[in-house]
Amino acid sequence: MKIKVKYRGKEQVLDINKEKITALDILKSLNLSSEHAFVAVNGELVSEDYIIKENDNIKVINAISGGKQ
Amino acid sequence: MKKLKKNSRCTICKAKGEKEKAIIYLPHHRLTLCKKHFISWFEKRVEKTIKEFKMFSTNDKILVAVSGGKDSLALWNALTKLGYEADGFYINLGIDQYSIDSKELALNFAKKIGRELHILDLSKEIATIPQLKEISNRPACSACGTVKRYYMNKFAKEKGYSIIATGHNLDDEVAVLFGNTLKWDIDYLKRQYPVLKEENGFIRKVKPLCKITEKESALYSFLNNIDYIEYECPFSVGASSIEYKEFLSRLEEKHPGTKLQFYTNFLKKMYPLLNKEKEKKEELKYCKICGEPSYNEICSVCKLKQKVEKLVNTNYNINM
Ligand SMILES: [Zn+2]
Ligand SMILES: [Zn+2]
Repeated sequence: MKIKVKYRGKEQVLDINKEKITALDILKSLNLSSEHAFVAVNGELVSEDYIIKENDNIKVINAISGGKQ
Repeated sequence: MKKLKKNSRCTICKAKGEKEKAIIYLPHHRLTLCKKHFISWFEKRVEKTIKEFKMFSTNDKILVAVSGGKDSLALWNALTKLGYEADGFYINLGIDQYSIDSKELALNFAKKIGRELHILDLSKEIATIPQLKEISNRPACSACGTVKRYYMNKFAKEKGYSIIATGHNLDDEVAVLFGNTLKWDIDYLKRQYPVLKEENGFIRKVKPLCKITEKESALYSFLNNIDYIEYECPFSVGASSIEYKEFLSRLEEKHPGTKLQFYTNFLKKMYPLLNKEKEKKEELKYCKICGEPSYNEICSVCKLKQKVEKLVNTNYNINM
């Protein structure tokens, strides 16, 4: 299943080979740890076991930043 | 998010007999919270940190170093909500699209909370970061850190601010602490404290988010609809601090509380030992040219300026 996600201000298409895709699967496919990343669906924070529905507006937020001095 | 079970209820709401749905589980604090209570937990934690380290009071005029990122905007938002008088200071570094985007986000946020945002254009003061990188032959981040510290301090003094607040979070502090410990860089470890006292022409610098994790800060920004710059400064890519953060995150996942403990125990147990001996301090001078505090006759920013001027005079083309 292909899903569109917004990540770091850009749109991306993820191809995840699964029937039911959860928020955690999205984090995993972007190689992100839930320790520093989370998923918002239609503007609301969702838990990792949330199952993605068609037409969901998905945004991934990665909290890790660098380059601060 | 992490280990948040389906249909979990907020710990605080539950105690009050309410039934608000939880949105986050904070394993290192063993708290499950709803949106409203996460926001108030965050602000209380910032307030507690300010008091614990005696950072400032409501009588102080605070200048927040604003980058347009989640941490500085979250800090500015929280300070304002807590009743502190805090304005923003944005340095336009001239780093292509990154600077254009982050400046706009900083300006929009200032408007939203109704506070003043001072903007300093680095290209007018000295040169842009890409130009300085070329000229100084130093990594961009090192030149950037030097000029930011310099202009922040100088500007705050000129405008009568008594405090400079930066958005460094727990993960930033832990990554730096980890790096300095790996190298046993005693000189840096000695200075790693969330408050740097005012002395010899330096204004007091504080880090009120030092006990807030990066994720908590991102979440706070998200829940408050704060628009911040979501991509990194192009020069920071590949920085070792990011590598340390990812490594420490994996450790934290297995052992919640590791980061906070590493940091707070350093402050409690190690920092006092390192600063026990009254060593003879390196004598601070004042720059012959600009009068700002410096360890040399001429400060590093004035030295950079001389290099820029020299290149301009020899008609060197700085094309960035
Ligand atoms: Zn609640
Ligand atoms: Zn100088």
